[in-house]
Amino acid sequence: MSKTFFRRACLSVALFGAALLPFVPAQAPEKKGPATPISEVRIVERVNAATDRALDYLESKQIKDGPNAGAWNASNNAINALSILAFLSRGHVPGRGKYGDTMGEGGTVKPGVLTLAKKYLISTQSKDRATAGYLAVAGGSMYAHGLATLALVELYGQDPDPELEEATRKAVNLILRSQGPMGGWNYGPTAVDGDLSVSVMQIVAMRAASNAEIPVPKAAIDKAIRYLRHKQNPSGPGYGYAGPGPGTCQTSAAGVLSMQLLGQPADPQVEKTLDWLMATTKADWAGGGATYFYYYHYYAIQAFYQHGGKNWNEWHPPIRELLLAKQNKDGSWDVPPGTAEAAYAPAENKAYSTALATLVLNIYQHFLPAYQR
Amino acid sequence: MLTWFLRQLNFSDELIRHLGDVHLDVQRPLVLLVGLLLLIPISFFIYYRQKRNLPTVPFGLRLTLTVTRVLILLLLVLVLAAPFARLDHRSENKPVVGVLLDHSQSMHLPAGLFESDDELLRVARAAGFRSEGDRVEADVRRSLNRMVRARLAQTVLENSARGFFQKLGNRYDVRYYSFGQTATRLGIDPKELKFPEPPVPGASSTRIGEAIAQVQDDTAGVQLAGIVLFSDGNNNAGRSPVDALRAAAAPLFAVPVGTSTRQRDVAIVDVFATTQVTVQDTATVAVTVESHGFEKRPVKVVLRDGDVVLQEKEVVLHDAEQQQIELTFKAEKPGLRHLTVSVPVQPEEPEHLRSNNTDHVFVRVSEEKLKVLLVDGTPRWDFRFLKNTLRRDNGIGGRTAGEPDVLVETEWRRMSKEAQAKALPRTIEQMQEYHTIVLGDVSPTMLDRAFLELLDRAVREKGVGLIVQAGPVSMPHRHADKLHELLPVRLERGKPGRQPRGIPSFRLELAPEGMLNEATRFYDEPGRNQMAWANLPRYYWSAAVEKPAPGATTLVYNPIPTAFGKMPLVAHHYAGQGRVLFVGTDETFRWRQNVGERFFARFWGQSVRFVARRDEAGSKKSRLEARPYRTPPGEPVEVELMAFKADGAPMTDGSVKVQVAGGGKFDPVAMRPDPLVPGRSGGRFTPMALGEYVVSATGLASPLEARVRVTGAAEEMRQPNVDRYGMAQLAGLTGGRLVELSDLATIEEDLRGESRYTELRREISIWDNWLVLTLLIVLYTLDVGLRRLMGLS
Repeated sequence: MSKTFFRRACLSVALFGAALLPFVPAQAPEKKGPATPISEVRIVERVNAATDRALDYLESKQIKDGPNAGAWNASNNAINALSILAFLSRGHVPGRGKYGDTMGEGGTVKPGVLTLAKKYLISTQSKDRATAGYLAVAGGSMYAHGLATLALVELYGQDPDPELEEATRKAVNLILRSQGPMGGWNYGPTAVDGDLSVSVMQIVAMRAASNAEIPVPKAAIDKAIRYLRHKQNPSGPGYGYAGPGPGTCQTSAAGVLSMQLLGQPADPQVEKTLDWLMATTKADWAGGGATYFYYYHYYAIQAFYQHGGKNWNEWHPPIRELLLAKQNKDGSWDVPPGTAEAAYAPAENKAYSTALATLVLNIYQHFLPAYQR
Repeated sequence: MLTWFLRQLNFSDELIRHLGDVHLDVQRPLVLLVGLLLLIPISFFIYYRQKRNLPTVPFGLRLTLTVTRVLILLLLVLVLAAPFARLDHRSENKPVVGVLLDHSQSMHLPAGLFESDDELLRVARAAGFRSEGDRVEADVRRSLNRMVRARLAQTVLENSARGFFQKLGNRYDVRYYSFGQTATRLGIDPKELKFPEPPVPGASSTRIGEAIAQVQDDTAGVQLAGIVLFSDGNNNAGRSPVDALRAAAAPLFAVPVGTSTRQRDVAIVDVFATTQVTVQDTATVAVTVESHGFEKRPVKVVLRDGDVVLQEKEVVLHDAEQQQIELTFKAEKPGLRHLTVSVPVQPEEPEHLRSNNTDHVFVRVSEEKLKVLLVDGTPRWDFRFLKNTLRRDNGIGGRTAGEPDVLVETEWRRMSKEAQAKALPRTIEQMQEYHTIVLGDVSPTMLDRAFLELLDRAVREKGVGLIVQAGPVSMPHRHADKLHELLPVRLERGKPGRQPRGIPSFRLELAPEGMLNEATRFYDEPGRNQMAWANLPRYYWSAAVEKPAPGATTLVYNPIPTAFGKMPLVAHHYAGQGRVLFVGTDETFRWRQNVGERFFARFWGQSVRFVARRDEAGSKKSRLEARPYRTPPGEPVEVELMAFKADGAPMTDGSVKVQVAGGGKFDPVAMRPDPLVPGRSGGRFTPMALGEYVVSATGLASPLEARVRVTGAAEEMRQPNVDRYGMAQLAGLTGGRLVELSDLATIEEDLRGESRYTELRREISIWDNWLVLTLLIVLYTLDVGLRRLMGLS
């Protein structure tokens, strides 16, 4: 409960700050040289080179030995899940390719990045009867559980490991069990309606599970749709955080994506909200209207891609160019100064920001089944 | 005459060719010396002896008799000395430099506009125009901007680069080639360096890979020092230039011909539609537009059926960014629809770049949905994407519902026994309702013996189409022979699959049959299709295929060698009445990379239709098919005939005749009967003219007809700009580099190889031949004959 209060307080401060933004003198635009025309092939190659470097960085930051072998962060599975998804989004699947399992001396199999990460995630799953399947025992709440479930679902099927199947089903069941009466989710694994931010993570995981043919009752989907409709701004674009209203750009982008993934891409609120996001936010290292820069762009680019057409065509080039310009030499990304995610990406391990930036850029790969249009 | 004579003396071709380097010698010089010395007194002795013994004989005859005897002795001395001819020849083998001149249609685009003064000045100097200081005169600017790319390349070769290439000829064997669709060696005198006019209008495709391969073939056994490529870099057909360069193992010096300024152009670079929809369905046509020079200009993308506008949507153009847009139309009546997608020509677009504003797509509207069953072992990614692709396909449904029937073993295992039994078709009637069954990595537990027996009957007797996609868990290595016998490939027994050990990854290679087949046809233009396949991403798992089954056709290879040649990756054949397609990898999801549905959905959508049951409920009706429905001129079209009598018995007596009418001609099509499938026969024809071709079959209960539309290929003008980046990438792979027209002289320092010298030594004896023997016999006969004639002893 105190965590919820803390998040709401943070968000209120952020919104207040955002409201003051129009009074802050505008920064002079950076001077640029004449744009060099580039072909589509070259764009793809630049993006691929950037995300390949990012994955090398992530590989270097994965814990290889000890009880936390396979993790990037032993206290938050959200970061571990995002890192797994970053590898998958580039087409790296368990056991194969550059980061796959290798044969060591004496015929022993040395597990690759994804095999190690999968084992770690499964090892952290709650065996307790009340919270069976929960993937955030060590921290990170249902945010982490939603993302970790999504990672497991995407691994499942490409990896015939029966332990993975069992863990995935348990994780999905926990999401279904924890759906509140209104159709949302809370920060803990209990059937209480919480805010849209944490609910969206469960919705994406639930949709991915359904795509993997894991049974998801229609009632759960319908309840989630009702929940999202309840959160939408009754008098304009956007989706509210805790109750109905315009919310923030983050909750609105997440709300749009959830509606699209739940089979409601033609809902009038979807297009209205995307137009509003297009008009009020931009790809800018100073935030561009977003308090949680990576959180926003992770959902926004997926939402615009799902929608396609004019908004997608307008949206993806600027965020792509911004991320390509801001990548560090070691392949990682920093959190933009002044935005709210600095705590997740300390200088010694920027897995959070690097994984999310990679996921944004790998929108062009079209590999993650959960996000098939 | 001399050659004939030398041949009689045992001279070989090599000796005759290098006659100047041939020396005569003897093996026993001492014998020769002593013999000749002795021959002098012997000759006198013979003469005086004749004079004493034959005093009445006239002087002339006596002298003749003396000479013949001396000559016989001389010949014997020579033979005893063993004379021989010796060849000492040293030849220089210069390394070859292949100069490739692109003579495709796009090389007839203007080389300009050269907007930068610096670039213009460099090109002007290279082309031999005089310039004062750093200025280019207006008429030179005009002339260069109008000059076509092919002409500019040759002007540079004949002017500023002339001296360099002439000098290069001293160290290297410089060979000049003209290429487009094919590569032809030009008979250029390296001293004169005068080129013929570039062919007009030029080749309809640019095949850089083929041209490189041609140079490699021509220089077999000789060192290839380098390849100099004059082109605009728009390779759009033929084998992969990367593969060809790897095989040639020579540095490529890519010389971009034309301005680096991108031309103002709007182009439709891709159009994709579901090839078959059902009446009353809404079909989607996905269009990709690319442009330059029209930043933020809104244009309308229009979908037409003939003159009727089906839908139009606005798209805002962005430089160098591809814009995707989806257009839809409602399919109201059955038949083949020839749709046109176009973007209005912008006034600023040059005349020669307006053809790429339009593209075409075919959609077949049928009255019935294809019924498809998809079964897989686990929800692997290929399954997930395929399931959604099939569900979204408006022409595909299931046995009982509007969507295809989908089942995954991981969920089937959790069902009750009763539910399990009902989940799969269990009678031949249920199974033959499907047009196509797709089996993934399913275990023998689910696909039990009874199911496989039924499947075998459904395919062989009822013509149900089958696609088997391999997987590392079960398919097909854990299954019984019944399933293996249905497959168009033969696998290494019990081996789950292959991973790329020793190489980073596997690649794909489209087989010649795959270029024509509708399942593997991403584009109508064969070159573009081949390029698309060559550029598909690499993969990491492949079924352990050994060889194709007898009578099977390989469409795609995994080019790693097996004991039987390249490994088939995608293959098909007829098993009885039904077609079976095998897909030997579980990583077709990789084909989505950067393009989404484009190739993945095309392959699976077309494959499901390619194998689909043709006859209603297994009844045996004759049918005639010509594929592809649309083709450029000069490309082969495949004709397939299934001929049945009224009672359903196959017609095998050859009484059915197939003809093709089109291009003002009416020709028979030679049909080859399929020995494995009674009633089936296949043939080919190659349409050469634009327009519609009608293929007809006569001799059946009712005549059959199939149509093919022959349209021009727009590939050459689809990407009109000089692709410097692509050329630099290609050159960089080989250790070569991008070279500007003005810097050609810098190539020499990076050419590989020096002249190699070959010593040729040969010795032949020149006495043991019939000529010497004949001479001896003639001399002896002359001596004996004269004596007999004159009555001498």
